[in-house]
Amino acid sequence: MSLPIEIPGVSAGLVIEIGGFPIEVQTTDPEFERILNWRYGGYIRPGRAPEFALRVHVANPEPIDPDADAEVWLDDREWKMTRGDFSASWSPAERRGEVRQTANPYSIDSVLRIVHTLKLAPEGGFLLHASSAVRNGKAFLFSGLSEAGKTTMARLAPPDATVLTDEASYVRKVDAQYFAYGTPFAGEMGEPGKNISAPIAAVYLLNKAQENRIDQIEPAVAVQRLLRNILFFAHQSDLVRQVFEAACAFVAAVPVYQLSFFPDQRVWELIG
Amino acid sequence: MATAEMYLTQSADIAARTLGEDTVIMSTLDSTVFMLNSVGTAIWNAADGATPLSQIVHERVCAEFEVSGEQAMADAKEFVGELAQHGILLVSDSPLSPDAPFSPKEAP
Repeated sequence: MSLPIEIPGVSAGLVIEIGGFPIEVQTTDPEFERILNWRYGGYIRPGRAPEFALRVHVANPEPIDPDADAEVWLDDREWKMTRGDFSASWSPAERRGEVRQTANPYSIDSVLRIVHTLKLAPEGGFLLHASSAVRNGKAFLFSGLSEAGKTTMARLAPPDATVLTDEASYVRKVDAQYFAYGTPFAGEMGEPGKNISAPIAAVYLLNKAQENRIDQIEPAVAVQRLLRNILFFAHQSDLVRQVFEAACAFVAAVPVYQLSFFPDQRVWELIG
Repeated sequence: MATAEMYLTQSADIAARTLGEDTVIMSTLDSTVFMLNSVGTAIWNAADGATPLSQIVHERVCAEFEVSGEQAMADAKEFVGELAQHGILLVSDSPLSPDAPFSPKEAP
């Protein structure tokens, strides 16, 4: 059962629910609260009991390294995460965390991505570098790294498809079935996805080409390529094993194909 | 001159799964992912620390795949060396039992 989380001196914050996990983000900074409302509007759930709370301390800008990678590690049951533009901690047992950052949307966005990957891994879920959309009640994921065509596939989606994200797909295992959820984690489109979910019908590994074609791929290749595209930031051996097992279980349950595509609307004739 | 034998065992710092004829391996130390084909999978599955590489190649590679013993051994040593470099396989010039202290052999 989730209970209200009170942190002395901090008013109740915004409950941001992504993938069915409500997280309360607390701040005393009105400008940052405005940013949160703008960034996560479709994902804010007033009155929903959060699973845990993150208290954000808005700090003055300091010189940062824009190319710094996030570092994530477990320190006595508390996750620590840092990058050039933020430092944060999260204690799952105490159901609370702290974030220090400037008043910008990108740092909290990264913290939320990291926290969600940590939350998902033990349950067999993950965040995947993939755009995704729902069509005819089924979710389709289009996976690849930068320039693979994730945003292109989202932009080309026909009117009867609902885009869940053009950047990071949220994959969760619910009662032995895999679901994709909308996320506010936007790529080049700069728009949050629709906050809905649907059972995953297929994953397509993207390959730009001169013609549109779907090819079967061997399960081992599917696992290898999915692992390349799964977001995970902490390299604790237990967590790496969980992510590996999650990828193997996912490939056993969900068809994974290679989609060679020419970037125009016709590619969607193959989807759904 | 006789060549020293090589004994192989799988590192404990990996996660691995054989799917079809191929095997996917992930290092839990640096998250590197490897994929082994059917020949690599045959060697991997036989890496019990007690069977010398020459015997593995003879029984699992030459007997199953159309390849000469000399070529198979050369390829196997290269394969083993690569996995050993990444800490995926542990290699020794004496049998490796689960309780025995590990004395590494330089990768070929």
